[in-house]
Amino acid sequence: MDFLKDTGFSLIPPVIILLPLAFSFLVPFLKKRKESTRDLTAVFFAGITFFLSALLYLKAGEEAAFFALPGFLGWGLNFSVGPLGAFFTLLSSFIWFLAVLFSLTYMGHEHARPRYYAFLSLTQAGCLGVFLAGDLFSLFIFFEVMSLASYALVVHTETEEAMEAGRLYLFLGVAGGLSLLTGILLLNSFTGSVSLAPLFQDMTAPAYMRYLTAGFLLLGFGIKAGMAPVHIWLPKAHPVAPSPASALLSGIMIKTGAYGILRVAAQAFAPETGGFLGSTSSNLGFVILWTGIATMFMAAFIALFQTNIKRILAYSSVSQMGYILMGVGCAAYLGPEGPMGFTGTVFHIFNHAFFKAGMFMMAGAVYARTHELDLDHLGGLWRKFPVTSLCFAVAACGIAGVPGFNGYASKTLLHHAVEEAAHQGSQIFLYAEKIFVITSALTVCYILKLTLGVFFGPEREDRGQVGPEPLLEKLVFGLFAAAVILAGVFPKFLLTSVIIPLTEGFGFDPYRVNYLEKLDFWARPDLLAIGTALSLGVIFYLFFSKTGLFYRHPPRWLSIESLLYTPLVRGTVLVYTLLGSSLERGVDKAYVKPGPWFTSLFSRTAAWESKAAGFFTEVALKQASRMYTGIGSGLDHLFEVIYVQSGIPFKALARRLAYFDAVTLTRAGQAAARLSVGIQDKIYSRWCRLASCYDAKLHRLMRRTFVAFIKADYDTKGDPFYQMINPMNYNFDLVVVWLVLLVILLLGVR
Amino acid sequence: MHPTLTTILISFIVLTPLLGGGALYLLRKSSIGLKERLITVSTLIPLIITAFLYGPLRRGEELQKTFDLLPPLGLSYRVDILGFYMLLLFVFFGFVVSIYAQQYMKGDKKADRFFACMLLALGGCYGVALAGDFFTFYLFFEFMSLMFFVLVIHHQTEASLKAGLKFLFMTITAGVALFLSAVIILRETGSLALGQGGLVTEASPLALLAFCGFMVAFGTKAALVPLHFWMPDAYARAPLPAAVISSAIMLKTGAYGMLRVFGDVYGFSFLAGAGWAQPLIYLASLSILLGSAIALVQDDLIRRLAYSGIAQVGYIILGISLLQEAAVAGAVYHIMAHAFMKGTLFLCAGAVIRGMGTRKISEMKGAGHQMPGVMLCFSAAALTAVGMPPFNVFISKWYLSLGALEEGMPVLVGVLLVSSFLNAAYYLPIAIQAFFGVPAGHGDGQEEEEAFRQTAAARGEGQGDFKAGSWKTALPILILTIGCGAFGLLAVNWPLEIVKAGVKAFF
Repeated sequence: MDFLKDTGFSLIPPVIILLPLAFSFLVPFLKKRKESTRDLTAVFFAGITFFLSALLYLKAGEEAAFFALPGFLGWGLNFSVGPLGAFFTLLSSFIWFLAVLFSLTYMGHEHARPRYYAFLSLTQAGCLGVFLAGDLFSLFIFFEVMSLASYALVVHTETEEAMEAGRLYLFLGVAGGLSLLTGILLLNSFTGSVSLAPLFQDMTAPAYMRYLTAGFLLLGFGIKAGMAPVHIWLPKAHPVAPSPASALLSGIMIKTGAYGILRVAAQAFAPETGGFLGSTSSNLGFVILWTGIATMFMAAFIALFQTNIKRILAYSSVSQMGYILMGVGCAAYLGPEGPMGFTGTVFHIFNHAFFKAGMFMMAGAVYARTHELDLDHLGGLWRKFPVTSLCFAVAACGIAGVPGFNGYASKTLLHHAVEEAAHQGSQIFLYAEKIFVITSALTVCYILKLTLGVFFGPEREDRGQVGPEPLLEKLVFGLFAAAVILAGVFPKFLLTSVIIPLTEGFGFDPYRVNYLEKLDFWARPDLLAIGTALSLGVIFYLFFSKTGLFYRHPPRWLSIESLLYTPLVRGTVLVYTLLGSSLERGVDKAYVKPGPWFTSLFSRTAAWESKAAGFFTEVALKQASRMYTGIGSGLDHLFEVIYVQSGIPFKALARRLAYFDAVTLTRAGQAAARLSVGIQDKIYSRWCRLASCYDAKLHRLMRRTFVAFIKADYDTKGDPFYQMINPMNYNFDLVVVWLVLLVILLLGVR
Repeated sequence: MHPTLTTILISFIVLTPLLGGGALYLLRKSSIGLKERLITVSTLIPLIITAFLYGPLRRGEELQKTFDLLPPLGLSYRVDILGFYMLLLFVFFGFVVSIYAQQYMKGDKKADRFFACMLLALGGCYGVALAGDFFTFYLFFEFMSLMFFVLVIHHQTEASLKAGLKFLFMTITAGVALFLSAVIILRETGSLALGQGGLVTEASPLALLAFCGFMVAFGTKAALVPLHFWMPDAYARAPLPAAVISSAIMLKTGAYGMLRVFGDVYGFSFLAGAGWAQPLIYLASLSILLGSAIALVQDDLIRRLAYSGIAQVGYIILGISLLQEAAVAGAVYHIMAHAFMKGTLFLCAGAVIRGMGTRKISEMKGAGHQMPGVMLCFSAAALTAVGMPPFNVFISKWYLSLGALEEGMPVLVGVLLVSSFLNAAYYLPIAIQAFFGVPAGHGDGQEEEEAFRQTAAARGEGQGDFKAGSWKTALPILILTIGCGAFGLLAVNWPLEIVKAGVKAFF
């Protein structure tokens, strides 16, 4: 952490962020005022930001500017601006200033201008924050702000194409952000720190976790940087944005990715001392180097076959990012020996910012007047856009690497870097060097096609008067061209006084840095190498235009997108949504389906229940009651019969006796009859008593039986009637049971 | 303040909404203005009282009291830092939502019944946060659920009755499970009091059974997969303010109960030894991934929000079941973050649904041109849900991830981040299609916008009694949106400080 030790507290970094942020929230309030008021305010804010960045750059040359908000998001926001961060901040705010100036004229034909300015400014706050951040956590926060805010710039035109590109941009941006966050979290858990400093020595993780962490970080930054297999959003999103926004996307914003990779691979993972070859950062550098080579070649090759100006420029951006990544790879691969790759990368970022942002704006100037971006319909515009075409030609020379223009200087450095990698590391990089030269030739080829196709050659369509170039545009384009030429003529000055001081904090070998200072840009091998590339490029161009290969479009399916991403994404989405919808229905069904089952179970149980109850009523209760009533009535009947049957003979006898008496002896007979009737009556009454006694006993028996059903004990209390009504005698449980049974019986009968 | 006075005041946190609900029922014949004032006051008073509790709590005063209302256990309340945090959240959301609901429910014939039951349910929620033991907790928990049932079936359509029945069955199951567990714990340990720090000291089958019972009870309330299925239907069928209350407050009572069970009944260190919380990690991850998966395919905005809620509550349960300080802090912070985020989304959804006259997301294109303020707030809340940096959810995800890494489970970080991506996939398109893709008219053509409005009107989607521009709609949305982002930007993130202090008591 010793690079934090000598930090000086400074308010400039937060103010640089707050200014554009404030402006973006100010825009809605300027809606009611005149457009020019807002435009001037935008220029003013961008200018002040640029001015402060310049101040910061001067200050950071002496000591790192430091500012911290400890409580922010529960973790703390840190600004710590060393020379490298300050340099990129200055570069970004300058290009941004130019882009805002250009927007004044360009945005005249676009809708929703307030939104554009608000988000342009918000994006600037995020982008500058990335360069000003003092640790990866703060960097991530600004990175996300930039990603999200720039979405509104990409889809600004709101055409179907823009929305499609925007969707890809947004989701890859979110995915990149999340990947970055994962990497930061892992880094934090292994090293306990997320600061932008060598962390390798604190790393306690096993090797595979180190590479996993680095992989997440690289993926996160790589998506933004347009690194090879995840570059697919770039050629779609950059062309659809309004031109100043495209210029910033290509010129500045993708550099945040390269900056991040530089910080991670060449700083965070770099060993502090010695033994760099074979270390994590060196292996990472190996991968990044080859990724860069693949990116530059592939994108340059595809750019050859494009006819849309902005698409060519976008593919060219991918290709140039390949150069930059290759430089980062060299710096990380060679560790302390790699200042060549580092300076090459930084120099190329600087150069690319100027020529690519300039070319996008010039293309925008053409589009704003002709409403045409297709090379097939353009041509010979130099008569109508003399200054623009001159500046475009200068920028083209820059990108092609013509000596005397800025691209030559940085490409030379990068060329040296890849040669060093081959000499000091693996021989395999000799092939990389060859691809580097061929790619440079391809660059020359497509840039010739573009420049000649738009501004020179025959005029394809008559456009009449397309208006003079506004003064402001001439000024902005002139500035770009001047920067390209100045950096190309005085590369040595720029290298020694600006770029070499930026190596501070990366732990490069001082001897190597010294060697760099003595580098001769105009040495013969370098001129020879670029000469080869240039002449190859011209030959390619002639060959391609003679054979018409430029207009041979590769089949649509032959792209990484349709081969890999589309099926992958479609498949995942399909599976996931299928999973989602089937789960939604399935889970509900899983819970609801048992419902009816239970209901039917319950109703079946209820049926059984009632059947059982019916059985009970039918068999047990009825039989029992029938039995009891049967016994009762049987006994009754029996007594009746006995009584009646027994009475009959006596009656007959009495009658006979009476008859006999009446016939034979009246008095005696009458007395005898009276006697016999008395006897008979007596016997009869006794029988009667006997019978009723039995009857009562039977009733008592029956009552006892009944009471037994509702009583727990047989020991009754009180007199018989009282027994019946005395609640003390009832067992209420039994009563309830019988009542329930009675109810069931009643229900069952019904 | 005098201790007795404080005691009496605290009782009024619960009593005010209960009395207010009763009074509302008695005053149903009076003017709307009076009733609205009554609703506002009976949710405002608890908020004020709760705010005053912060002072005594910070001084470390003991805020607890037992009333011998239902012997032998008695009603008791107790306010500690964590309880205060939840209580503040509940009373705040109760107040904000009741303001919003006044406008939203205008013109509803049964609004009186709705508000009476809403106040009673809120009273129950406050009681849950105040509860000093699990018996009191159980009483208020059940009361709240039953009152919410009335809110779910408010529209009395067949579908809402069905959804209500589903909810009722689930909530009864939850109640029975909670009761069973409480009885077991009472029998095993002789106490149900909170804040004693680990009542259960040794693992026994009965303790495990009680644990499972608690998890079923609170898992149901917090809509943990696979006990979640009552929620989307209930949300979609209930009036929107009821859904907000459930999402911002009632779900959280489940999470809070779980936290209390983990911290006060078993103790985090005991559970870490016993390993009973392990299955919950998997269930929570499942909730997170499946909730998002299902949300992705919903076209009904409310259902999408409901399923997303399942995923979000998964974060909370995941954090708690990681049994690690940072993760638990993240989870408890997420309780607040989610309440603000989902509250904003729901309130905005209500405004948009009323304004556009449709609940279908696919028909909400260009909503941002019609209601720019509402959709801006919706977009901010959507970004919050994704976990974008300046907003609250980012902080909770950061702490959850730190905890997961501390526990040696980097896969869970992957789960969280995949879920963030899915959140982006189902929230951002709503925000995007609201502002982009349907041109508001190039230049400053008001004609297209007017035409758009007319087609909306022609589809029979008048604004009804609901005015999006009314302050009763705008203010709650604005307050909640500010709450989504403000805390992270403060120099001292005081909810986070409260959470950290509250969680520290468990470890």
